[in-house]
Amino acid sequence: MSSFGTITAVLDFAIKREQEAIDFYGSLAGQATNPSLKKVFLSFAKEEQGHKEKLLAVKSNKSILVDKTEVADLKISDYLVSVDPQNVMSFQDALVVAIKREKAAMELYTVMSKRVEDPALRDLFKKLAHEESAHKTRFETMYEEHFLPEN
Amino acid sequence: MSTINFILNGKPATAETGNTILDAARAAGYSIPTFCHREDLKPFASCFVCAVEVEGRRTLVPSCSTEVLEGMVVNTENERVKRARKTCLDLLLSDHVGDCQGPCMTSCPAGIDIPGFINHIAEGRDREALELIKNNMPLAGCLGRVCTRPCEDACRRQLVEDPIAICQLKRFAADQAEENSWDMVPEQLPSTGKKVAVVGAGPAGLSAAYYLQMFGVDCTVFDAHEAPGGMIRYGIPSYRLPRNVIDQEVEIIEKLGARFEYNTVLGKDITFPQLQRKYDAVFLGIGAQKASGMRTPGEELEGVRSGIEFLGAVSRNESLPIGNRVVVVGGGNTAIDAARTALRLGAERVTILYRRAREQMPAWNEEIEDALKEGVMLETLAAPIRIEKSKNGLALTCIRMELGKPDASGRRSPLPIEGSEYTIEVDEIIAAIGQNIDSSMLLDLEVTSWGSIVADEQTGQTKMKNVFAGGDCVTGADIAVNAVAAGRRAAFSIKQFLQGEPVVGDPKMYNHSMGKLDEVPPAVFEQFNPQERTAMPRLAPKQRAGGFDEVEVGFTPEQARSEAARCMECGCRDAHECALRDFATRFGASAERFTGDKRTYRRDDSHAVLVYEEHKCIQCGCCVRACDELLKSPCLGFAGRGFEARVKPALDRRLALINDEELPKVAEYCPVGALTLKTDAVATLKPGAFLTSKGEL
Amino acid sequence: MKNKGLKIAVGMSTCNMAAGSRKLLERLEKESLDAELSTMGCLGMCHAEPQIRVTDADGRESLYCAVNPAKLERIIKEHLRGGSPVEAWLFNANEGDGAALLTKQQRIVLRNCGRINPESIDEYLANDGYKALEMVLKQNNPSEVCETVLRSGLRGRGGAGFPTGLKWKFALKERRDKKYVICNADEGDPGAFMDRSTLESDPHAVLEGMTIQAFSTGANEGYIYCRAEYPLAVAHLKRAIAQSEERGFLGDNILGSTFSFHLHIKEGAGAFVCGEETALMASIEGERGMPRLRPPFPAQSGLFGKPTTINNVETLASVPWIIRHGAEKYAAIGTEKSKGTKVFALAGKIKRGGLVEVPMGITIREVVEEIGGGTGTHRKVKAVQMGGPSGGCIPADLLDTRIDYDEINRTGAIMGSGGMIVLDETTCMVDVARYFLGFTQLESCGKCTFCRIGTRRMLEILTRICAGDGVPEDIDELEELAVQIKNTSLCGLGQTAPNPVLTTLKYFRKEYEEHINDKKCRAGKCVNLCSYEISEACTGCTVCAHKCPVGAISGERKGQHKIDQEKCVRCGVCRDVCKFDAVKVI
Repeated sequence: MSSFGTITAVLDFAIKREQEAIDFYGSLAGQATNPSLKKVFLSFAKEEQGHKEKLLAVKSNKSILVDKTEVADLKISDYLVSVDPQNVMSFQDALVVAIKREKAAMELYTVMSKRVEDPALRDLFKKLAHEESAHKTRFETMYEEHFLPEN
Repeated sequence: MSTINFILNGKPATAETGNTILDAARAAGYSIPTFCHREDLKPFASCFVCAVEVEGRRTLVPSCSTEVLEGMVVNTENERVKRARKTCLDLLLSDHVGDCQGPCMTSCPAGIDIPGFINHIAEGRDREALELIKNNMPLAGCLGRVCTRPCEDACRRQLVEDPIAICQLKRFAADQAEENSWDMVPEQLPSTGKKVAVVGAGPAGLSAAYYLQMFGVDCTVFDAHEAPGGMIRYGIPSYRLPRNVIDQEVEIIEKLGARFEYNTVLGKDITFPQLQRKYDAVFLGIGAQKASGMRTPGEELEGVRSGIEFLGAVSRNESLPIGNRVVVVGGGNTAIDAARTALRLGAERVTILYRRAREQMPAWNEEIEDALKEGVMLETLAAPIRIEKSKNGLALTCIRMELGKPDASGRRSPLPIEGSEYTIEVDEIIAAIGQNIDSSMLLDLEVTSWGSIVADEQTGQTKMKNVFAGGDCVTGADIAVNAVAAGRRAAFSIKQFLQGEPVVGDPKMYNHSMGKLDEVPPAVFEQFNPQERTAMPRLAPKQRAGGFDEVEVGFTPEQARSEAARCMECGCRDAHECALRDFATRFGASAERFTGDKRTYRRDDSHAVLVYEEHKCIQCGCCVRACDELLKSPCLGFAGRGFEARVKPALDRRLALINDEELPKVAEYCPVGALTLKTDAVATLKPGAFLTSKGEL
Repeated sequence: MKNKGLKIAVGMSTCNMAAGSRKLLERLEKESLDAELSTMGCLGMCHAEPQIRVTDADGRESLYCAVNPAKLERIIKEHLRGGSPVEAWLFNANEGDGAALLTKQQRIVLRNCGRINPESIDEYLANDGYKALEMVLKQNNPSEVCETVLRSGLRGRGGAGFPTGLKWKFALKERRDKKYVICNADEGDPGAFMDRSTLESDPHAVLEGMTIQAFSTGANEGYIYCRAEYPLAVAHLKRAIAQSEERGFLGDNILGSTFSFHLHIKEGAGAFVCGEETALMASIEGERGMPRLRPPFPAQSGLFGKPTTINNVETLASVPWIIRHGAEKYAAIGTEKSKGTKVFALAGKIKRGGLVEVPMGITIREVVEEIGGGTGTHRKVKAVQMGGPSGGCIPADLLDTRIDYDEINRTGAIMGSGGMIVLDETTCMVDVARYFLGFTQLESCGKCTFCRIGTRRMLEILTRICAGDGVPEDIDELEELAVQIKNTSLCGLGQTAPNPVLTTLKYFRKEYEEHINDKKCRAGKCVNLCSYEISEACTGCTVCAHKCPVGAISGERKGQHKIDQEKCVRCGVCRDVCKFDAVKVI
């Protein structure tokens, strides 16, 4: 935990994670033979790029994070069977991967917020967790629309 | 008479002395719209839709009454003129009250001439009715059974009591073909020698093939299944749609010359590039037949399958063994069909499990009601979360749900209630939670992220110019009538493409409407006495459960005639000849641009043969002038000023009190449907029922 | 003491009567005076009616303005009986307001109005009446008369300003057995009454002008198309025609010449569009008053298909003066292209409203501020509406525009028939446009699509804007419709109907934008878009509180008052009655 002594360090960590996500989806897009899936992954990568830019803006004091907006947790991911990212065959699979990733990130930041002492850092982790949960809901809503239309 | 030289649309032109610009431009082959101008009447210049530009004049001039002068420079179709004409039409439409075509017809995705065919049935011309239907709907018998009937939702008769049983009347017409062994193979245009591959023998593909064959195009229809029909065969149980109905309607397409290659899977038995090489064009109607998985742990266990798989299997072999305790997951029509089918196969206890509330179920309410009557149970606000093997079958763990707060779009998502899990013992789980599209075999064709094919809405043309698509594979799982409509549109587009014409599909004419049900003036429906909708005879619920006999048994001719007679004949008698509709279509005019006061609905049908609908009048004055100049009798005249100016019978009397034998002649002078005749030729045909010839296609 | 040989004339024009002159006349009739009691027409001083002119035996004239029964008693006592005019009440044309009113006026059309008894042909004759006709008949050269009128530069005063002499020449050229002349007395612009006043106050001038018009164009039959809402004008015209026929100024072989001319009066039913000449002719023919396309022009094929010359009242009333004084004298007045004088009906936020006749070429400012005396309040002139419903609003910073057909056209307004309505800052320009458009759209004959439906749609948009429901696209749609309606209407009514909207959009676009974007009406006219407040300037005089129709104003005497916004209906009465300009619109 010692590496998370400062706000900047935490933000750098979060930014790095977003970059990893961009690379992750980018490489899945590169592997995909199905053009529609390729499109899906590229759009996910773009989505993560947006998250990264937001954090960069926060780091340079051009923007702030808020955790006041209400995010409904649809909890769809809780009951979905995980998909191996290397085995993604459809948009539905891809969405499951994305939802699970955002969920993991949300959980990570929530745990971190409970472990740090510094109130400023705790607040930052909470906000990051909130961000990730918003991302998760976005994907969950998409999943609902496309794959649970009659459910 | 001497010849005048002038410039018309940038080119030298000639005219005789005394010619109007309209005469001269028409002689030169230009089309200029006009309402108020008639060869046999003096020029009047009121409608101004004929306005043209004469260089040097400050204003536009009415071409119908402006003489051509030597050296004049006239423009009849530049932007200024077109803009003025469109505004003129927008204004006229903003003060026009009526329907071109009935709301049933305009809300039918396939555009069936509903008032027309209903009128044919009402008067005993069942074959003409069916022919009229088939102009837009080759699968009349199938859709007559399974259509979700958007037409009936729009039907104005519900302002009196209930909508007309349009769909069942359509089925009645189709039933008569079988009853009377009519040969319903339509006339075909001579062969063009062109070949088209149609992929998918579902509603979209069958529709495309039907019309393409009529256009003289040779179709080969490929389908992965062993029989035609797609989702209407493999997704709809035979108690709703007997298979022989599908077969008979497909037989007509075969007789038209289409070849069918079943058990042929695209991407496996044939490839997309092969089709593109071998055929002049390809139509993709591959549907959305891939069931969405629940992604619930245990989904892969034996005894769990998708609704589509289940219904498909039943369709192939109707005596599928089934356990006693069945749970169907989902709230759509497929779930209902699966549940009712399971019951028919002998299941003792069939429960539908739905994540949201009953009101949110996408299934058709009538079908839900039927299922409940037959004994299906419904459990809402519960979702499966885990399936495990148990000693007697499967243990299905569910969780209770509650509806969350409405989101920005007002939708309330279901949220799981923590700690509310419960487990039930079942033998069989059928997941019918949705379908999606497998378009991976289409390689470079543009598709959306969830796999649907990107195709133009009007034409069905994809980014690959020789490839067209329609139906569920474009829209996602949707109602069958949309697929049939898309197949037909694509057939028109493919014909245009093959002939090297601009690809426009089957462009719609402008349609004027009195608006939604609550916007319809009461005078329109108050004249009708309530008469109950004719109920379709059905098998009793007890009779149904054991078998796959069709539940709805069809109208008798007497029932059909009496039901058809309830039709209120919405739509305009003049819809096919109306100049306002024609010009509005040509100039892209819209009734939406200007909102404000409108004419009042005022229909005078007191006269023996002439009907005057003041609300449709465009004030061109042709009828008034015909009375003055030709009949030499002031039967009709102008009254009032400004926006309230109206054409009225003399002294504002009812038409019946106008004593002039020649009066009905003025109907011919009305460019719109404000003055129409009740003569036999028209009165026996309800609006729209004019187009039975194939030439129109 | 007895005052003898008096001549007393009471103003008995419609406007004078409306101000109560009939009572004065009746009172004078009862009083047995050794005086000749007669009537006179309208002097144009609407702000100071009724009027009585007393001519003493020695010829001294005394004009009493704004006479009421009480004042009349004193006039009877001191002047009519006592012989000494009530000096304090005399109208003084040489100084003060009287001078301001009259100095810049020049009366040609109105030369006899309010000067002579309109019911007496002798008084007309005594003022050079029918001399012009005699001259014309003596010369017996119609084409020479046309030339004279052409040289005078007289242009049609009905609005469009077509050279009158040219019009006559066209008609004279037509070799046809039958021709007509028409006097267009269908004065329809709201606020315009110069024709009515002329017909009531000097009918013979119009008859003389028409007879000359007929002679010069080769017509021997004519119609005066006068609105039935002008009963006094019709009565005076009928009497004048009878007198003229009796004296040989009308009828067969006029004044012993070979020229015969018969004149009829046709009373119109008051449709505004019938002021349009083709609709007017249709109406005389007994048809619905609907305009038709020109060409053919009336000079070739007019009334009953015959060559017809149509002029308006003011134009015709100018003709005898021109003949008598010569074209050059008339042409010496005015600007290069607008000659002679023009009568205006001054109305609105103006101190001295009424009829004024001014030489062409003076500025609108001179008319409004000097002759009319400005708004008469501390408020500034915001704009002048000219030309009635077909005209437009000229903003205050263009008040130095000269009275000249072309200069006024350049502003977007028109000379029109002479309506001049002064607007101050309490006038909402969107509301003004709505008012005039509301008038024309009701008066459209309903023939042409654009005029019939388009003007209604424009009105609906304006109404929406005034109600606070405007959207930014409304301005574009208004402009588009305005241009289209101007482009595609058969007659002047439709072609000019959008003018009030176009000129207000041109000069006061910001007010439209405020209505739409800020939901504000700076004039405080549009009730949904404003509220009233009383500022510190309030002296606590309590007038507003008394006048408020809904009792929304409260306050102590000598203390600042307050408006209850819940109760306030935004009628603006408080602002109108406040002498301290303490009521503000926000």
